[in-house]
Amino acid sequence: MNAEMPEPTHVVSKGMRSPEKVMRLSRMGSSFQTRLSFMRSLTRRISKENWKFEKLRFEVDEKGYGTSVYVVHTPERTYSLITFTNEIAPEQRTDRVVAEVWDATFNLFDGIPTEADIKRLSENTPKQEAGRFRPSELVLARANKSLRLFEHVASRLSEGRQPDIELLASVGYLMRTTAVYGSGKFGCADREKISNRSETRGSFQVELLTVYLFRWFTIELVEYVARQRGGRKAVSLNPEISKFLGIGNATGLGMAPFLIKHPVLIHKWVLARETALSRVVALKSHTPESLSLFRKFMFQATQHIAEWNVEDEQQTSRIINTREDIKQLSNWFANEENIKQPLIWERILRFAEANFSLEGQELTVSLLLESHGKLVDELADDMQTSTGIELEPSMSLNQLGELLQKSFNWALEIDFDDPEKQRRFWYYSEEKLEPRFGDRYVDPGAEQEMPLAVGRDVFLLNKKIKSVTDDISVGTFVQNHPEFRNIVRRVQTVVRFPYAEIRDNIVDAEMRPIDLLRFKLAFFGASKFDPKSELWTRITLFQGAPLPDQFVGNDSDEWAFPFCPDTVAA
Amino acid sequence: MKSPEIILSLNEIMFYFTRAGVGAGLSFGLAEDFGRSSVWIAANGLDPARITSKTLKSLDEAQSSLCASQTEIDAETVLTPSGGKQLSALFAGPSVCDWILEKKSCFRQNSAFCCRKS
Repeated sequence: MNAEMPEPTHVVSKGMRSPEKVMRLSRMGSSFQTRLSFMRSLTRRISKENWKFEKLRFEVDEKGYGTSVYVVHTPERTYSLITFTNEIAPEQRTDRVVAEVWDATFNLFDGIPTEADIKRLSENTPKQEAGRFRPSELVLARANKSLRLFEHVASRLSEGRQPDIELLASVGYLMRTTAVYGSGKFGCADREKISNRSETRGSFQVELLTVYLFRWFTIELVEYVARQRGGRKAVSLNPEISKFLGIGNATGLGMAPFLIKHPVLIHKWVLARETALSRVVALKSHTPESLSLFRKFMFQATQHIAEWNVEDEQQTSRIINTREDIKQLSNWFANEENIKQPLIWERILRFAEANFSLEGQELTVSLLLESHGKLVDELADDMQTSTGIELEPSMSLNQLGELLQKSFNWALEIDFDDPEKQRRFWYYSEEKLEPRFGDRYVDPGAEQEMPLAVGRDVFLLNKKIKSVTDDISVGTFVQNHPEFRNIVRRVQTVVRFPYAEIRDNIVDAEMRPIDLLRFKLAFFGASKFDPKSELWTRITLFQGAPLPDQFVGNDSDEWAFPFCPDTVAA
Repeated sequence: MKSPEIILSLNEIMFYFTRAGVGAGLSFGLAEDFGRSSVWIAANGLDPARITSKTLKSLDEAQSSLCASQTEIDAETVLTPSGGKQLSALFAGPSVCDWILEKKSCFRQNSAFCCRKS
């Protein structure tokens, strides 16, 4: 066995938070959006490259049902949002994946569609998973109205009045998506088609562009319906109010396995955020500008969190703690003595770590990044990867065992012989091929478990390695024990990427999938997490983001922590 | 991959072929390799279903085996399936790839890898 150990990638520098600290479910489930989040990088690009938006077609009846094509021209390419809106009976409106009809169904099309394309899609898009798509379609999605808010806004505007701001703030969106499919689903374009384009190479950029365009469409749609009802009496939405409308989203388990199946990508996401944080806290001195920005975003975050109300008791209690945390931060910041000293950003982080809840700490991280755009924004360009998970058969089994001891101690310390430590299992539902989370000792199907229990599989691999007396090669080992082939290559790959693994047991009886969802959605840039159970959450996307005609001035990127426009006036 | 009704994306080929491999009896790791090979076949303009259906069927019907012993005699490495069955291509393929990767730093002239029924 002459093979050398793989070269570890020494990316966790002294000033960075450790993977042991960051990659725990409890902290991941306390994540907040940052300026590196994917919605933020998208709107920065729109502004910087001066993308042009165009309403190419809007053929809808007086109730708002019909076909629309909204187009965005980037410096090199054009993308079109093709939307079909339909009347559906209230009893047919459900956010569950098993629904068969929706208020709106839509695609992001690569280029400008021909009449033939629109006709073909009109026969497929409304059917969603039962339809069939081509590589010209980059994304497939659907959405339902918030009936209460849509009707209220249409009605008020038709009477020449603005909507009730409290009602609007309590919902936050006119429509909510219930699925957004990309990356080759149902025949749509594979990720490879767009992964080398400058505007779409970043994570989830086409999916989020789709949602961004759809948000614009929903606002235009409600204004159109109001005009049809009210005629000359009708008014448009106040721009500040329309800016405060996002797109709702109901997210369930479908997102969770993605995080486990793409460890190198997750490493890149977290590495970017942690590198950004380490750059900020390493700053010895601060400028009046950065102090002023921090103060501004701290105020915005205070308002934002004051308006964040949910029914879930656990999340409510966490929000209350976070409100206390940010009050403490504000008091700390108001003390002149604290501001005079050097290394203010590092001291803020240490203060948060010593005194705040996990949510308060992660909010502080977001605020520290928010006030240092020039220092950190370029890191958003390196949050994707083409690195695959590969086997290294020439490694010796002893070396593999050493890697386990060195990098997977967190897994080896869990006693997987305890049945409660692997009570849960992940599987695909037969009806929709959607991930589900079962109880191994109650639900059928554990024999078809998805291979996502990394900790347990590492534990079993370690046991097996110890039972082999000869120092054979990994190639020979996996030939003799093919059941370990996938976990062996995962171990060999991720040891070079320290933020790749979730350092917790995701099949534990106490595991909360909602923690995984929040982590991923925060990287998307979502806010106002509203957990409906441990299995799914509602969120709002692009709330506060500029609409296509609002990208003016330098503040178009300063939409983090949106709060109700009325509060501004107050 | 084409049929009169449907064109699968590479992502769908990866998804369905991996699961077909698991369904036929492969471990998940080998099934992933099968999925990746099928994607490569499709990306090169060929139909992976037509090319791989025989070997999947053979495995599913227990005509071929996923168990083998490997012996090295001089420059020749021989993989011998157990139970008097044929060796499944879904096992032999990854095995030969692993062998090439393992030996690439110390290849001898006339090195050979073969699968042979006992």
